[in-house]
Amino acid sequence: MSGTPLVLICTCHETLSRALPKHALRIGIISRMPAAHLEFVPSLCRQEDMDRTAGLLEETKHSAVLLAACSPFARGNKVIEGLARSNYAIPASLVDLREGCAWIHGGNPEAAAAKAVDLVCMGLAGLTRRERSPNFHVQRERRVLVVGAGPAGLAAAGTLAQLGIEVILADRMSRQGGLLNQIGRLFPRNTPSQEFLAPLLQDAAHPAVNFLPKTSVTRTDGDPGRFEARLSCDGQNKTVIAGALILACGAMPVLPENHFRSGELSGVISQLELETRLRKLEGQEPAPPGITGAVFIQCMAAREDARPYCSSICCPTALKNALRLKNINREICVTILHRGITTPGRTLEELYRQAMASGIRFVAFSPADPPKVRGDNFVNAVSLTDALSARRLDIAADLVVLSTPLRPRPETASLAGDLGLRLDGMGFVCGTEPMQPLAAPLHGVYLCGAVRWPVSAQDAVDQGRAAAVKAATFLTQGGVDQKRLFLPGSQSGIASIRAEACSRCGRCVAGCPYGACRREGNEVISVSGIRCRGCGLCAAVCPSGAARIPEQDSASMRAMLREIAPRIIQ
Amino acid sequence: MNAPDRSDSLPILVVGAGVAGLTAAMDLAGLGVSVHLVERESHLGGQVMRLDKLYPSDHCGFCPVWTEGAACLSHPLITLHRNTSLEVLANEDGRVIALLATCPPAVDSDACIFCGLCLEACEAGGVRGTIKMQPAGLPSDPATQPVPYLNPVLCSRCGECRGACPTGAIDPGRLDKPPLEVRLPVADVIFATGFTERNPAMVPEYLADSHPDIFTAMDFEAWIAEAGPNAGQISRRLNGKTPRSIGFIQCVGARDQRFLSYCSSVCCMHALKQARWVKRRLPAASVAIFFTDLRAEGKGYEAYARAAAMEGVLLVRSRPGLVFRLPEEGGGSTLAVHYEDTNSRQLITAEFDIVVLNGGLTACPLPGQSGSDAGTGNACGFCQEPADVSRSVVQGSRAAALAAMRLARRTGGGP
Repeated sequence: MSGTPLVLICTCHETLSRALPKHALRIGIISRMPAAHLEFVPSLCRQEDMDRTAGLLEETKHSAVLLAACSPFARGNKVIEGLARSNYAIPASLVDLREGCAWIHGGNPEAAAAKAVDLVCMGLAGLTRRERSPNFHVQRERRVLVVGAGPAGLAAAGTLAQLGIEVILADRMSRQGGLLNQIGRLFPRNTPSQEFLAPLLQDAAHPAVNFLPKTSVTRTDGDPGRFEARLSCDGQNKTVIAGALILACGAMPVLPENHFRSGELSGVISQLELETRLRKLEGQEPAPPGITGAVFIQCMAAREDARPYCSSICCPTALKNALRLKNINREICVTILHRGITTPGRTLEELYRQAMASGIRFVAFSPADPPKVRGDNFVNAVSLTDALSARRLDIAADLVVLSTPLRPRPETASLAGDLGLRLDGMGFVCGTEPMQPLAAPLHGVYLCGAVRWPVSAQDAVDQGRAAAVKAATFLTQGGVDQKRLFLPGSQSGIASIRAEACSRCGRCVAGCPYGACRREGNEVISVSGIRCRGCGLCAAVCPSGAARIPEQDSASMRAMLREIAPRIIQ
Repeated sequence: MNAPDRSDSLPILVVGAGVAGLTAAMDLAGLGVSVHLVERESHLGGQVMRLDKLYPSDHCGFCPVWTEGAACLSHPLITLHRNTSLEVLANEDGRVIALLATCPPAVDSDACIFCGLCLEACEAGGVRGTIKMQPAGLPSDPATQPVPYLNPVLCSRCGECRGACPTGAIDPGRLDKPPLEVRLPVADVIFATGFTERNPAMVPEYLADSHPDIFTAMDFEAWIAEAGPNAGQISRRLNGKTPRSIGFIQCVGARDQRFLSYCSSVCCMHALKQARWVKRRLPAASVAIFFTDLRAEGKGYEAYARAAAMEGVLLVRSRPGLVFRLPEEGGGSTLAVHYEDTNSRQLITAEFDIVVLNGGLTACPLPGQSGSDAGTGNACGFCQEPADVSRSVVQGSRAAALAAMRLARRTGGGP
């Protein structure tokens, strides 16, 4: 028996026997695959049959096993997993004779049986030629480099430290807190930002966190489990080793450049400048004179062709600051000019209602007919057409606040470029949407906060904690991504390059989306096991057939096709 | 450097196995913490399993969630309790005890092979429709597969299905069994109970339920799903004809002082996704979305909304006042939407073959809260704050992080 493949055909409690008569299958398969050993079992997914199968494999020492059962989405996956647990490291494969064969061709048993024979023969042809990717072991440095010490980075560092993982926290500024240091209070509850930061700073002041101020990352190399990052710390260069990276380098506000006459008229300021002014005003008692009418203009330089995105935090920020003005002096007329107020959810919508209740006026404008700021030297009014009533409005104002979007920081592109991460059309880094939004396609690299997309301070903190969990899991777990759909007993395939066939043309190096194929010196091309995701692009672009995925290489594919179309495939 | 075995310490209870709960459970297990995952339904994946596609990628939602569910099922540190609800969370001498109640399902989904013989047997017995496939025509998850459902009200307990079942998976007798109760000491609790779609019939002006071509958003998702009853083709429920026009009405019973004052946050993008899908299948159909504020603030969402507009989806800022049947032509088969076009400031009555009502999602309550204060701050996903998939999974991971940190503080030491 040794050396022959075993075919186990599940009759699914005899429910398939009518569509797939046993004798027809036996004759069909043995006439084409005489070496195969055929067994019919009543229900492979039952524990008894699984145990029996394991026993059979041990007794007979077959070279491979083909399970002819149901779809992996039915019970097939369970069968494969059951077999994988039984420690027989022989090639195994699954073909679906139920949903995709007996069921859909049930009315025509002859056709169903012929297709079943074809499926089994194809499965055998592929299986007997199939190879397995070698196992690889990855050393994981139990240390995470967190780039950026804003709310996201601080939360990530604090969380990791409490989970017992060493952290290098690098920030280009001397002080932790990021953009929050320029903001007085935070929506939705008007929390002072330093009060919000305090517990985060406390958590990050852990002995396991090494904070490097005035530090930027100039280059990253290496592989997941052992990244090498070159840092420039206050003029000095140094290299650190980290098993995982968390990018939390944030975003920066777009500043007005003559938008709405901001450079020309006094009193036209950005939302960020208002933050500074509010901090001064809020300290004064009694309320300072000066502002009588404030107009906020939303979506400045956003949601337009040049910057076609909604920055998501500007509406709640404007609501918060409008309410702060109202708190300073209820007499100030505050108007928010908008293109739709974006306050999704429960908490933010509540803030919107609060703003309406406090007497803040909301007027919609059309981007085709933007508001005009009037005045000489000093702003005195804003004119616009109310998009809903079509009435012309002249709103007296001595303060115009421009709500500006966040845009990616300039260093984001090079940081992402070194790691081969994709940027979206706006320059923010992409995760794996929607189920792993904070995980970069490269293992061991995680995103949080505004480097991925503009977020509120609270969301940045939540993302920081989430990214920390992912990084901790990556560093403490044995395996990479043990999820698998079809391949039994192993993770999906890893590309390999046969040195003797390789022409060193480098197409695989250029084509690999994960940076897994790489040239060592000028000579051999090697594949990094932890980077490779088994996508097979290298095999597709290789002109000499040197790059391949052992589990799915072209020889076995051809052998499978030959089973059904001998005249077409040579 | 493997995670230490924490199986001896008390487990963390995760309530709800939608995407948020699954993520929380998987992340905790990844850190070496043992988890008990409680799910009220028989299937994993929650509401996402009812979604044919996920925005903004328009990729199928089933596969990634299915894979996550399969990984969860086979994880040695996760104990799954299906068909189970958390009844009480009690604090006894400083220990948190969860009382779980499991209703044994009439169909054992581990034994069922989905052969459908019970369905045939039930029809032969003349009790038509007591067993039906669920969820509505959509693929299901690794825990259940398309397991038949025995409706306890319609089932006559004749036992024909039990006789027909080749694996002994179905037993109507179990329908009348009391739930099985289990007391489980836990270290912490994470709530991820998700949301339910409010019945739009509460909004009187929109005729919901009174016409077959008025859908809720989730119904419409199932109706046009590629794995659904029409294999992705779009037709009218009334007569099977191809619709000439489809209108989506947003904020139905939401951002409305009479009903829910908040914004459900996911519906704008959900309607855009369905509208684009309709446009792709039926380029000639006119498709309109009536919105209050078009909230497309997430990553890539504004681009998605712009693409929809480019593809001819009409975006109308308006909250229609009335949906009614047109009296003429075939007994009022066509619907009309009466609204004010805020661009032209005119009152318009437009005909639609199909009207989809969007909005009004309510968080499921956090169960077992009386008599204990454990874990109330540790909710994630929609039950905490309206959230889509991308946000829910982040919240799930965050809840796992906070629970793991609390555990590390108590036991001293990390994963």
